[in-house]
Amino acid sequence: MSQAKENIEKETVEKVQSLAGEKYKYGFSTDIDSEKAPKGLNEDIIRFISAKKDEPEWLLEWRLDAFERWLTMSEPKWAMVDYPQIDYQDLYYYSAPKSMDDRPETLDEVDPELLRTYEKLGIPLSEQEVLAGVKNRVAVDAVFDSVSVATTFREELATAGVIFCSFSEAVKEYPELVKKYLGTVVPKSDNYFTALNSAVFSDGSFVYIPPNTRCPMELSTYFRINEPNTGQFERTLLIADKGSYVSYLEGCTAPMRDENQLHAAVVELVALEDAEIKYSTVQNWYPGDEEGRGGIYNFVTKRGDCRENNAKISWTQVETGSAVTWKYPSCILRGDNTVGEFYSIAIGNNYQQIDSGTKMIHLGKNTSSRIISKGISAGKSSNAYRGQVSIHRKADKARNFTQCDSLLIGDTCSAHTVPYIETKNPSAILEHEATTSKISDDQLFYCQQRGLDAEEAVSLIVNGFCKDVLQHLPMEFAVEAQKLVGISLEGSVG
Amino acid sequence: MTSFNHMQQEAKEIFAAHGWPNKRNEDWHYTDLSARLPSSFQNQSLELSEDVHIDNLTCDVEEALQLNFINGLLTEAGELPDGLEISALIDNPDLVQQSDEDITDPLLYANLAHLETGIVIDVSQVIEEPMEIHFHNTSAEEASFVRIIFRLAEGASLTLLESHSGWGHTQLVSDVYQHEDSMLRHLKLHQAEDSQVSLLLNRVSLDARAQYHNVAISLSGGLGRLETRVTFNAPGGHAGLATALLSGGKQHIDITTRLNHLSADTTSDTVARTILDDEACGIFQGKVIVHEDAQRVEATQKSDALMLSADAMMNVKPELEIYADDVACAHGSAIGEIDHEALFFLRSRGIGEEAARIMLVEGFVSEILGRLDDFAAGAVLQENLLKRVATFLKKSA
Repeated sequence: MSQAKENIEKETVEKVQSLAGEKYKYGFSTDIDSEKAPKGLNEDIIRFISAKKDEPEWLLEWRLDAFERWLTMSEPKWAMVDYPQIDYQDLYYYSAPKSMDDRPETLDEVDPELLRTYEKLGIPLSEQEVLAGVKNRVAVDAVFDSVSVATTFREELATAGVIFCSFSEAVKEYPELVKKYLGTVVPKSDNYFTALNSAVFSDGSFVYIPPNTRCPMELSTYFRINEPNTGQFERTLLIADKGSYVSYLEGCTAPMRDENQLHAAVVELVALEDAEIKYSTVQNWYPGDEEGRGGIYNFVTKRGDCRENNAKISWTQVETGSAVTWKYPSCILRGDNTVGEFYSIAIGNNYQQIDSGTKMIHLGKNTSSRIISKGISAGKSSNAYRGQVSIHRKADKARNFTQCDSLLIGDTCSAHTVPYIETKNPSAILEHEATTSKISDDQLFYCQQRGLDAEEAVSLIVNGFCKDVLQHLPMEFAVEAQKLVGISLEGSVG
Repeated sequence: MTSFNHMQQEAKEIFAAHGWPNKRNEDWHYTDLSARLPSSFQNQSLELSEDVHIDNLTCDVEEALQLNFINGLLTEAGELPDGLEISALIDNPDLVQQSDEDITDPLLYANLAHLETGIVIDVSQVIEEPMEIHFHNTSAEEASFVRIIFRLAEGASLTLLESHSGWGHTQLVSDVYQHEDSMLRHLKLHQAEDSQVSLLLNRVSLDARAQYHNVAISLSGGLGRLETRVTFNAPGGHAGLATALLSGGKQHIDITTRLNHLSADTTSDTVARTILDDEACGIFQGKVIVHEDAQRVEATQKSDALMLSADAMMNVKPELEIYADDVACAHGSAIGEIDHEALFFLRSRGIGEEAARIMLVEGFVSEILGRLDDFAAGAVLQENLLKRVATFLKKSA
């Protein structure tokens, strides 16, 4: 056996051992001095955030307009989730690690406590380590509470012409790009949470891939909520210019706390002619404990716009965390021959509630979309797939295939499927399939008589059930996601 | 006990306060009644109309017992066989309101608020001959509101032919209570004029081993909602719902089904075939709810739609809501146009294009008509309906 292979095996064994016995390994909190805006939400807070970020006047106006619209809106109630009324005046809308006030030029200047946090998260912030070839080359933007703390590989990306930076920097350095695309995919008053986000968003990632460029490495953002009672409202804007390609990964974790925390993010993707965006998420916010105490409320609006011909946007998500998830990554297939894809695994355990799915809006000719959704419910969780496929009048020869399968583990959980299929064009072909079932006793018995214990057997079967989706994740994430599937279901059998 | 008049008064107040549902009500997402219907009805006939000809509008089965509702009023019924009894709903007020649904559901409170005729039909044994109930409105100004309660005793069975024709506004609520081992075969034929609004709600409650087979055919009409809700109360219950929706012109027809599996070991299957021409809008909303402890439920839902015109529109929402784990539930949906290869195949065999199209479409709905095989007078019904389907297709070709 070659040395390399041996090393990989050893690493795998160690990794698996390190995972054993852990339920939520990101549950620590870091004691870092932070600067917060006072609790509550009003125009002054928005002005405060805008001033803190030294934003131009137009962005402040944009925020205030969003806030005004938010005041007239009400929280959506149609999702199959149930949570106590959120007091929006009892939250901190801005929190930044204090040492970030003078943003460090190099990683050496970053608060070592913060670096240790990211080390615990397993995120390679140190470029040296990465350059030495120890780990895979992934450029990372790390967002801690509301502020982007470090972005790696910027120079190398810059030589390729790729812009990858925090949203606040983008506002300062590339205002035309931000102004041109911000809010064009997800309008600020799209829904209650986007209006809220547009008013108070603090940071996020900004990516621009120039024409005919294949982004030389995976781009990645890690989000972390640390401070208690803080809402996290980040905004991601990703533009793939003509003929470009980018693969973007997103990961999220939060400390274990007894109270619920709000996360309302907005992600906007724009794919121009012949461009392709692959957006993968492993969402592992703190899901709350076994009694359903604490956990993140994850109310996220993600939408991609295939604005010009032959563009392609592919969403892949592994949703294992959050107490309540309300999330529908969507594609607007505006250009002709555009393609939208949505691959999702949503796992709920204990008291988690998930209402997630997608929207595929076919506007152009020969557009096609594919939806594969796998929902797994265990414990007392509830898991709903809600998806819309809409074929507009001019979308000749549009094509959609949807498959949503639900797996139930135990008799106290629930699984729901709510698809909306709408067509105004006869040449469209739409297919939809859905099934709901439990893990068959035969499969379990087969695995167990081969020496696996019940939990391992369930994990193996579930991984098989999710395989269609897992194989669409970039490799770095696929391994992590596979383990997450196992960990999320711990304690759900036997 | 609350009196009938008191309940009707309450329903009137609720209707005045809430009116018709709009599309913010999730159940009415695709059919916004508040935008399409008047908030009050002035022209309710209180006298029986004379000389109404409905001969070629009924299901056309000679041996059927005929019960006709003209403008919402029951015209004289023929002699009833043993085992069938009809009484007035007003004498059984406890059958009117049984759950919260009765006062919160728009179809139910609107029906009760305007109710003209309410009857209770008791079936105590196996009835061989089919029974037809025909509803006809004589003019566009007519609005008729009827409620019929069917009670099938243990082991009883009936073939019910329900048909709708004419103009104006028809709103029917039919509640079916089926005791152990009873069987109801129910054909619903909707063939009204372009301007008619038909809101037909059918609620079925099934006890142990009771079977309910429903075949609904909609061939014409203006705005229609054919809604069926089945509740499975005890093991062994089965419901089969099959719908063929053929729609043209500017029709808007909404097929809604809700299967409420409260009990373990119950089964249901739902099939809907929709054909849309011109500017028609078709809707299929199906919902299967499997409650906690309702283990070993098998439920399937299938909706297929064929779009014949560039201006037609189809909306489908097949939902599953599952709270038990040992179940096998599935739904499938497909929407498309006529298969060009199948068309080419037939044409290459020397069949003209129009005939080939009709053949393919007939094939598409034949599965639904095939469900009439077990109905009393099933062969006659199939023949009659096939003729009407052919007329529809010729018109649309």
